[in-house]
Amino acid sequence: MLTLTPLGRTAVPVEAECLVPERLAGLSPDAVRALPVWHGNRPARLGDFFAAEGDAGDGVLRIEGDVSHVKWIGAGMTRGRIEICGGAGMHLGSRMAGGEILVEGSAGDWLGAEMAGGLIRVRGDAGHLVGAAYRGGATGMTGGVIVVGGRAGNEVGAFMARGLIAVLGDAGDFAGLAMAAGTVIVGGRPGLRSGAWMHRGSVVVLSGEAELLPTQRYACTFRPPWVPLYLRHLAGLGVTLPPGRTEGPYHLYSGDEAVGGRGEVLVWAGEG
Amino acid sequence: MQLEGVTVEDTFAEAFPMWAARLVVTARDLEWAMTAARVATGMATSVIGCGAEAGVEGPVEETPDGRPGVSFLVFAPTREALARELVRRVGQAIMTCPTTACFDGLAGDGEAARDGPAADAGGAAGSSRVPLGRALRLFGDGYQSAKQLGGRRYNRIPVMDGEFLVEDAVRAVPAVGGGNFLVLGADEGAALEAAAAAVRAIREQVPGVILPFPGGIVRAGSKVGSRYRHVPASTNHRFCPTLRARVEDTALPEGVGAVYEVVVDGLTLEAVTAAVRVGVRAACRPGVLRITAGNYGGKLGPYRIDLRAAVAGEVPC
Repeated sequence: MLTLTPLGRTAVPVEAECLVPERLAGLSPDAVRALPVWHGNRPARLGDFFAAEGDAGDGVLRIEGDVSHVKWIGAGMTRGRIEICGGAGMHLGSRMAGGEILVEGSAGDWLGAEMAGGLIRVRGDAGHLVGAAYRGGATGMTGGVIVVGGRAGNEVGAFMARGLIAVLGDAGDFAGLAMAAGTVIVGGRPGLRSGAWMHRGSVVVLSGEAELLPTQRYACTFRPPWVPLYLRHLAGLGVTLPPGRTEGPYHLYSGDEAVGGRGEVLVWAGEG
Repeated sequence: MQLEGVTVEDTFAEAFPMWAARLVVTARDLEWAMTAARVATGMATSVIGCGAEAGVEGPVEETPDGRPGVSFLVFAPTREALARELVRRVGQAIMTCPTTACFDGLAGDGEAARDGPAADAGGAAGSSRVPLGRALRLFGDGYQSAKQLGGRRYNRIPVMDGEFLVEDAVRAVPAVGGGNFLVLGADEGAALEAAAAAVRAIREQVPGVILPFPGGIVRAGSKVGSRYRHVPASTNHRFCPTLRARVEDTALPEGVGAVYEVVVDGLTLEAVTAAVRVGVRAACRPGVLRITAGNYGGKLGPYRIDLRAAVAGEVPC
């Protein structure tokens, strides 16, 4: 295991795309410290910001402290495991295709943006655009699982095409914006316009509280048979869910009719 | 060999390669799940006339969706025939049954299932997936959708009580069919009682096998071929008591008044052998004169289950 300890916080963000287990494997601590990073618009070395110990030969990178000022950790990773004993900065796990990231604190914006596989687990909150497509991109998350233990910002899962995002707390506005497929689960209360412009895919609201667009049209109240699979999958990851959500029932809203969409918003219909 | 006063003949059961799948059907309650499983495995006694051999294994404690569930096995001579039968049976018997969902019961079984029959028994190597929900989804008439989670894909087909959820493809594994033994009794009652005891014991003690015939027992045992060119199988005349005086090659000793056969299909040769062992031991009881097995001199299939060796083996836990 390679252990990195932050030497402190910086007001200017550090961009450290090198913090990927597979790129660090086989490097000595000195070689790790010599890796290039960006400090704002200036080139720097990883050792300017971190102390390094051990090696990542086993595919495990552990960051002992808060790195909410460090961007792009785990970007593009395909295997291995990153453990962050604090917060993490923007673009954590961006475009990752495999492996696992565990964050004990909170994560910044663009968490798992355009992610294709693997698992990201954030115990705290997440910023905006979790699993979303980057501006100008057509497709957000295409696979994998993101679990946010707390709240998340706006546009969770925007343009996502596959995969699962579970925000156990409240979510901001536009959860599932323009999604093409995949699943967004909101444990708390979502903001405005969940599922706006969605073409397919599912937004599931476990709290039973959602303010939807009129173009999300009520269809029926039933027990969707696939929801238990997803909630049991989350339970297998150690997620605790409120009682009764696995069984349902759920109100089904179809839409977004504004774009001829065939997606669905499921709102828990049990008694709270 | 004598067991509880019953002669166990020095012979072997001749079994043959098949392909198998295990499906788990879940429903609102166990009764509906069992109903679906029973209907899906209906009229599936012999590939001679049914296309598949199938049977219910029993309730499943842990199901993918957490609802009550029942597992059943389906066997067919080829992978293609298995795929065809699964689609027909799930489409007609499970999708139509209220509240059901259908899952692959071998997913996650991993290497044990993939290995199929013992490699030294010459079974077809490896397993593969055959389409199920993928073949059924067009019933949704364009309103179908799908979900993918943990490497498994599920089709959602709108139906009149909600949605039918069915796994996109299921694992097909090389398996063994046609394990058997015959119970030769003094009369119909004694033979039937012994065969039924064997069936109960197998079902209670041996996982991964089915007994596809009615109540697990077949009275119309067959041989390969017949005197009529268009009939592929015909009555096993050597074991028919009414023909004892008419055929020169009768296999019935004096005193035998009725014969019942127990046929076993299993996911592995070991499971079939264990079923034969457990079944024969349970069938050795008063009124039974002899236990033997059906074989065709090696013409039917490559697997030989030596009756005495099987009976002498250890009973599975």
